[in-house]
Amino acid sequence: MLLWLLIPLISLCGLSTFVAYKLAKTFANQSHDELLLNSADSIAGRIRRNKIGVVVADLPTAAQAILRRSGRDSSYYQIVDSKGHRLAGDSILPLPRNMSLEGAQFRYASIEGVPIRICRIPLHIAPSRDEIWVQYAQTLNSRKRLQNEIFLSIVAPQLLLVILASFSAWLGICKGLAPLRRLGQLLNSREKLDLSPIELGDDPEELAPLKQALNDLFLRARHQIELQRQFVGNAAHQLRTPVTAMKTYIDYAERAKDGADLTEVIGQMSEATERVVRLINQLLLLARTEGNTDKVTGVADLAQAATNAGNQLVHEALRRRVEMDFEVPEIPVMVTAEQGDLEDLVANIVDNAIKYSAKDGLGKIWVSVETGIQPKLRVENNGEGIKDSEKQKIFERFYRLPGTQVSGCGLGLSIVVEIADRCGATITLSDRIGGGTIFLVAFSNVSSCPH
Amino acid sequence: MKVLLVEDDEMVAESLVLALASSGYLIDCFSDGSNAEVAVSNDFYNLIILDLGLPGMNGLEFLKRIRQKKISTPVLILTAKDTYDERIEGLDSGANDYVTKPFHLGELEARMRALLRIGYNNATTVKLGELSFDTSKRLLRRGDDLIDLSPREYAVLEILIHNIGSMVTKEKMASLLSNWEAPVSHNALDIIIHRLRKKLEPFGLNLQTIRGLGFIVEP
Repeated sequence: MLLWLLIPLISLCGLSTFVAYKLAKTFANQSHDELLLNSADSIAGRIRRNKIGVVVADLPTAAQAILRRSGRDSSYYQIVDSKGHRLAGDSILPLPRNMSLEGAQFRYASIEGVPIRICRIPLHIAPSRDEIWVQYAQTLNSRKRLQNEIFLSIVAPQLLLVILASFSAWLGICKGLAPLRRLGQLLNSREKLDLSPIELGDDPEELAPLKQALNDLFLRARHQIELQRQFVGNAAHQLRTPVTAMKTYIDYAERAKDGADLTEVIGQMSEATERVVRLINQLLLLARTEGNTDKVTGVADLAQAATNAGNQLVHEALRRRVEMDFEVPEIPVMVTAEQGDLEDLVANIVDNAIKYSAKDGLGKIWVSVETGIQPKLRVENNGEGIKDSEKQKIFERFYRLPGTQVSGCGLGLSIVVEIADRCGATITLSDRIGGGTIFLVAFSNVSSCPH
Repeated sequence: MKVLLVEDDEMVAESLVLALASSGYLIDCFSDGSNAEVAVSNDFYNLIILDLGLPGMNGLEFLKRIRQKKISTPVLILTAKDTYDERIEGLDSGANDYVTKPFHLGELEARMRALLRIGYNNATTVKLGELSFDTSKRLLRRGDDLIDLSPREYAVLEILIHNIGSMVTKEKMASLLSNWEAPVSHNALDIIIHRLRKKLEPFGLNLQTIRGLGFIVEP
């Protein structure tokens, strides 16, 4: 985090240092060039022609002392005629170049390896029309010094500012991130399944959305875990009952005397085992249907599924003396579903209809498949029907109608709902005139393809 | 001994009826609390086995109602849950013991005997003159010899010893000896008592008939 903060700050600092250096150099040059020009002008002011027309520089010793004395720097001057011949002044000063350039000219040069700055000004001394040149030069010590002073006076506060800014930003970030860190510690220190809402006490506003989102997530997770827990509990409870009966029969058989007739006991045990097997199959089916969130892409034949369910359940219907009436078209009725799922769906509804139809050999069920844009499965039974208050509940897992004497575990219709949801089918439940219930499953997104 | 079984699951109920009947218990079985409440109010039972997960009126409600009606028959609850709450609530609502499904038949019967033994002041053996009655094994001995009695005679004697020192009315005796399937008439009862007296009085059993009222075995 600090790195991300430092990179732009240091870049900014570098840029401003560069600008400051350039500025310092420009200011120092400007002011010193001005001084050079003034000095050159002073020298020019002392130049004239004597009576015989020779150019002379009347520089008294005092004036020369002033010109030469310039603090840390050595100064040089030169007077040169238009042909480039030195008329007066220091011979070690390089002669002017580029005579064609007009006006005051400045350039860098060096004397015995020491860098200097030369200012050159042109001069006309009447009556001649010839130009003569005055050159005045100084070493660069003061100039450099001024440049450094300007540079430092700009850069130093800037550097200090950057350091201070980085530090305070770092402090601010640390302080700003402290609640996050505290949140992390709080979550780390929790028991493995502690999903209670987070309470931070004095939580800053910035953290509120995160806290809310986490708490919402926890709430959903808690709900799911609770549902799972209930499901496992219910499943165990459902398994316990037939297992209790089996165990009692086994204990009974174990202590039965030799030669005792255990035929009935074996029959009962077999029935209890059947019930366990059925329950396990239902649980597996539910787990498989529920765990599968893939979109259904398959196409299945509803007519075939209805016929198969009828074949599968005919024995159950005969055993319960329930009359079955099937009205299924002989052409395939294609719906969006997986064939296996569709058969489970139909079988569970039909099985339910058989079980809850009228008792004492009066039971009757009607199963029909309707073709069309929205193929429908209609399963009706006669019997007591389902009270309005129970109509929603019967789809809940492990729910059994109060007072029901019918064996079962209450999972069949939960499986139906899961499968219907996956297939995008809707289930409606209505009362049958004359008693009983009508289950109508309408499938969607289908294409009827007779062939 | 006559037991009322209240269990809604047909399969579990059938298995228990078969197993307990083979151990010599008379059993009436109900699958819901309301009918069981009617039965327990009008009939005598030595013990009630109660499943807590009943449809309609649940087991706990049934238990509270019969205790409110001052019916003091021992109650053994069957629970299918592993949580302590249900057991605690069951015991606090008037149950005397519990077993968790699935249970071991032997343990269930031992717990039933333990509850029935309260009627014998928790004695495992009851002395009656030269005779001794083993309340756990339900056997009558004279010294080391088993006394030969018919199942009916055993049943009557057991009821009398269970109420030793108190009178058992004819109605109560008849009720405790009969279930829905096999009622016992007062005449049949008189015959059994007569036979018991004939067989056991020589060994010091003090069985009295109080004419028109009932029977009593004095300790």
